[in-house]
Amino acid sequence: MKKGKPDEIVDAVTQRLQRDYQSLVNEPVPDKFLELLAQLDEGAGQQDPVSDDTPLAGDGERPDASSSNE
Amino acid sequence: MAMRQDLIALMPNLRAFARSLCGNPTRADDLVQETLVKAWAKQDTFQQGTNLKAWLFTILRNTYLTEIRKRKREVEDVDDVLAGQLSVAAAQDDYLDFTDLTEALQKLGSDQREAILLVGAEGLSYEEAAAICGCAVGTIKSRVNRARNRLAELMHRDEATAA
Repeated sequence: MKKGKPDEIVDAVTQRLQRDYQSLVNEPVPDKFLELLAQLDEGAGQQDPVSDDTPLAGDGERPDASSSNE
Repeated sequence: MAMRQDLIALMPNLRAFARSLCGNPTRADDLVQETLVKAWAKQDTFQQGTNLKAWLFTILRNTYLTEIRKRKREVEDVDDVLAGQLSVAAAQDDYLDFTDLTEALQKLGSDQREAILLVGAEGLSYEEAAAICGCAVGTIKSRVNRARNRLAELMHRDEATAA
């Protein structure tokens, strides 16, 4: 592992990460997502999703192999 | 109806996580859409009173990993030599100045990227992030720490200028 950067640089990058991420969170959600949920709520969802990516009870189920590090 | 309202409330976070994870707005929206469909179809397996955000993030993360494995296999199948050349080219770009944090995030391995996003950006606890990633709390702490240091390496010139 490489040597750590001075704390102030790491802090500045972390703050910037939070700032940039928060700006993404604050973006308006496109109508298409609300329409999709409305369709699903009305039983119009016609997909039969693959279940292997869906955890069974709140957390923990893994995808089909260990995490990649591409 | 309650599930629908909960999903609407969490959608901005899902989109932000997806955008930061894959670095591509179009792919991110596809990922969120797929996550919503899966969550809706499997909502009876979600235990009321447990952490819905963590459950949704797990679905999104697993969907994303499945997709990149699929893509990786396709690239390897098509042209192993070309894939190797792309990998070298990416490594040579490692120390560019990044003005876009999203770009820098994509230079991290996916393990570190998801860890720093869940803990450092989304504000989840180490325990929640570990549950989502299916690993030990100590592993998440280590990944977050390495990701912070790596981002600092990638962006330090830019941050120093801004300070």
